[in-house]
Amino acid sequence: MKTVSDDLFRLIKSLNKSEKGYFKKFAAKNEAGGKQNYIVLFEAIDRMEEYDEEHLKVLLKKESFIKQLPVYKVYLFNLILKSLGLYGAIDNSTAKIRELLEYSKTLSSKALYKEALKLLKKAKETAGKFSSHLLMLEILVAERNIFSVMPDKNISEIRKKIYEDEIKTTDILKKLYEYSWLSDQMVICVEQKGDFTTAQSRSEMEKIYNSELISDYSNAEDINMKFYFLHTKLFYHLGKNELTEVRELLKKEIILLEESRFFIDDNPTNYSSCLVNYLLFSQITGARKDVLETITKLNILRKKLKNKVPLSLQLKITFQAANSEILVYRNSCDMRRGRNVIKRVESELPKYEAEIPPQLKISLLCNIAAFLVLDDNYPAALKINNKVLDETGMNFKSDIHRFSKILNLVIHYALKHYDHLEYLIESTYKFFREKNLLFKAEKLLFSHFKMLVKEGEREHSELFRELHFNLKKLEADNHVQELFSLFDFISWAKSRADNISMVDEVKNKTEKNNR
Amino acid sequence: MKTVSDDLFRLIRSLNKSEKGYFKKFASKNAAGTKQNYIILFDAIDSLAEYDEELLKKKLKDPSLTKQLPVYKVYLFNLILKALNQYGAYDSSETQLSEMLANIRILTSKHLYREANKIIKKAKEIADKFDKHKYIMELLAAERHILMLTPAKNITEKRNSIHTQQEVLIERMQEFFTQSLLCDRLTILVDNEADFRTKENSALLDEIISDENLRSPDKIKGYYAKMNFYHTHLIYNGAKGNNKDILKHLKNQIGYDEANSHFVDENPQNYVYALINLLLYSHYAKDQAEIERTSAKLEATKKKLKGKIPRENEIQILFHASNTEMLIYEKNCDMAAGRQKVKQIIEDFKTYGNEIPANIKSIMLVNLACFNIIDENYSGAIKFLNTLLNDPLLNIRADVNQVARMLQLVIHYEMKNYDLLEYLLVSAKKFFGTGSKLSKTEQVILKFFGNIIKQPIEAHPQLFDELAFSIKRTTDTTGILNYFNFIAWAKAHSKKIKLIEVLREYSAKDNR
Repeated sequence: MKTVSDDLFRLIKSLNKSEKGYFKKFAAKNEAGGKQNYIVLFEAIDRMEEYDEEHLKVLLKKESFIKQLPVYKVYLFNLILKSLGLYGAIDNSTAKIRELLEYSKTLSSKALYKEALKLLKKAKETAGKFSSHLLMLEILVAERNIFSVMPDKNISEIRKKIYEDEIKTTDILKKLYEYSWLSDQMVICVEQKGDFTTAQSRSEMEKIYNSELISDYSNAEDINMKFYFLHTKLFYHLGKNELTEVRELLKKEIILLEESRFFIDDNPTNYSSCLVNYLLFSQITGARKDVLETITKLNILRKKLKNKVPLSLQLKITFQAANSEILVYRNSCDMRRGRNVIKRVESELPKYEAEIPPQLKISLLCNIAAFLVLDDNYPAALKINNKVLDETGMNFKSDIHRFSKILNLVIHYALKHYDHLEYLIESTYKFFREKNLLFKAEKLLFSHFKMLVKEGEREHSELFRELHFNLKKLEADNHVQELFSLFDFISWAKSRADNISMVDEVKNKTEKNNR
Repeated sequence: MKTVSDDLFRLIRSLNKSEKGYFKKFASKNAAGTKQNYIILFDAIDSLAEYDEELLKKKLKDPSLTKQLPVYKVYLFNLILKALNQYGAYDSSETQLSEMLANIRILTSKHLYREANKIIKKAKEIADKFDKHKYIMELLAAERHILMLTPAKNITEKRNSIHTQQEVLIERMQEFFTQSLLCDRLTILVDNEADFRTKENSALLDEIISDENLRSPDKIKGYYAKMNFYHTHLIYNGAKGNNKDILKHLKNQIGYDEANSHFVDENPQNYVYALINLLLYSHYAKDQAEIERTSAKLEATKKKLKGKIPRENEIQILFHASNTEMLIYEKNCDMAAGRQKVKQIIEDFKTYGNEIPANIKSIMLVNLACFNIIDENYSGAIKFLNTLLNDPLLNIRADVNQVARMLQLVIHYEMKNYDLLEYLLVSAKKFFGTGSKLSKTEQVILKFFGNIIKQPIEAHPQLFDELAFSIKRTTDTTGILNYFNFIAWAKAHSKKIKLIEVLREYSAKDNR
């Protein structure tokens, strides 16, 4: 029975093996007196499958601290966070600037102002180099505090300059927040809502795209603003399914970051995301040379980062790369390589599931399910697709949720679950109708599935031929492009009509296209 | 021979006994490998009277240590700072917020967004309550980061709300920076340049105070911006000698602080300073009821301070209060109470040593010298002045140094060191010649000393009488008479009575 918050349980469960080991050593070293109590409580919670306070009390009934369990829980929660703070301490520009600021405050408190100013000078240089505006403001305030007790000959000029820098920095911050707001609005429109094809969303997107800051690159004053600028445009074109433009913008983002390598060394997240996405869009848009170059760049980056960045970032980069690789291998029908990537993901994902961003996890699982359908591995596809359906909804990754509902019908049909299929088609159709999601392609697919369950198996080839014909005739609007980018329904229909494997049909199609 | 920077030496010398002890424990626990080397180097430097690298190398003996001395020095410098950071840690909203932010970062990296958001909510309340802009900014960034990673029903509205909060915060930051600049400009003009009574600077004072941001505190939203507003008006009225307005603004500031008592509980420095100033100006205004009320508040607040605020703030408050008390005793001519205070200050100097901020220590030394001159304890007075003039670290306020040079002449005259006086006069003229411009009052005083050393003692009362007359005719643009009443001193000598008697006469007149 869940009676109290299970925050502590979730925190303990989110730790990996080495973090747990580090915590135990940390607790034993740093906690005076009842240190064993915390470790006992930690281990008891760690052994639980789900949080059950009553069961925990039974488990710990002999322990003296059980009467004070709420207090111990809060303390343990904070103790774990404290140990993680030390465990994952990373050496980046922000940490360096913070340390310099702290040290300069200490020196000032000792009236060693000259020495404190030396450190602030260093901090200022780093903050300027990395466009750390908020920290720059902190440095300026610290500088002002020193000059107010250590008058200089040119104190009036110095103080005026500090003020000018403060106002200039806040103005830059204001502009940066404006860029971030525009970029996030565009991302929300396209990615989070997943319904960027509606007229309302389109008009929102146009409004953002035509805003003053986004219309001229020279408005962006620093690397962060430039990045937001490109990102806003990128999502605009993504929303409009203009994939070549998306690839070009990704290339620009990569060039922007490569021009300031120190940014990549300091925080490789954006760079790795750009590479992963560039790999994907190069594949989709047929830029073969760029695919190979990007895979090389990604491998170099992954090796370079190993043990140098926090585990969470390493995992993000690894799984992002895996996601792109699956898409690349699916599009190129390289099933052997694709299966290897899935094998790797299946063994690694359960270990780090809690540590991968939910959006990335869903995208990865969705692509794996589509790959497995292509590979005729329907039982595995069903398992993965169910997970996707469980973890998505109309409020989170609604585009993927909708797609997975249709893929569910494809899988159950392949598994010949005809009885179940009849009910499933009806309930899925109802869902689409009620949510006003019945667009052209969806209408065709539902009508096809309804016919399939009515007719005998011998008629299916003909029905698929009809579906193939109708799908090919469809005008490639944004809805259609979005749906077909997740799964090649046309090739699926053709393979079923010709009674060949889907992968052979995709290969034939590619060959034909190449000719 | 000083060959390299002596930053490390100065840092080690600035530590008090318990900090040194803490560092050694910290180093033995935290420095990997050759931990003993750092302690050996620390002790060796600590034993030096002044930094001498050659002597240090001889003391160290160990060739492995001396060979890599520059590396060890840098590491030791940083290790001491690291230790001090932990040693001085006390519980404030900032330390609490820093810890919360670190926890938010960890929970976010673990995708425990619900838990991270809980902390963000709590932290935002604290940061908002304590007017901590920087932390609110960081918290909003963390909130935005999580929002963009997780599904949310009204994501656009929530993101919009974050953006609006960021915009409001930028305005609040700019409000604070503007108030802080105005306050500092006035302080610099009045405190540091020390010539705020010249026509030009007086106009500048008026120009600053006419700034539209200084018209009314009503529109100011932030606590710290408002504190700067009150302080600006206090400094302005102090410079103009508008005691009534000073009292009005001090009472407003204290009232505002008392209405926001959580700020006082966390950092009572501004509040205590305001109380100290109110005590002083109520004394000038002879408002006994206010004096009693303020004294009671001050005592109650001082009791609450110990261990709650950083040591450096505690020290600043202690000395500021002592300085004011001494000034009150001096103005009241209560020499017995003043002497007790002097004794206590001397003890405090010993206790806190290098930890006393140079600007506070230099003013205190001048005030101590002034009190001792009035009390005819000239050897005591000269000791204080010599401490001030011989320590280059205390040489940071031009106005204080100018007064000290003048007082040096007064004391040596009183001690009848006429030969020395001649030499000191040359040196003082040299100092004033290369330093800041002399005010009319200072010119009159210097001219007086130039004359008096040439005249026989019998002629001195006449010269003092002339001095009193001349000073009265000048405008004291640097405020030197606020430190020491040269007119009273001149009168005392012209009438051949004690300075304290003249001052008592003045005090009695004021009371009438």
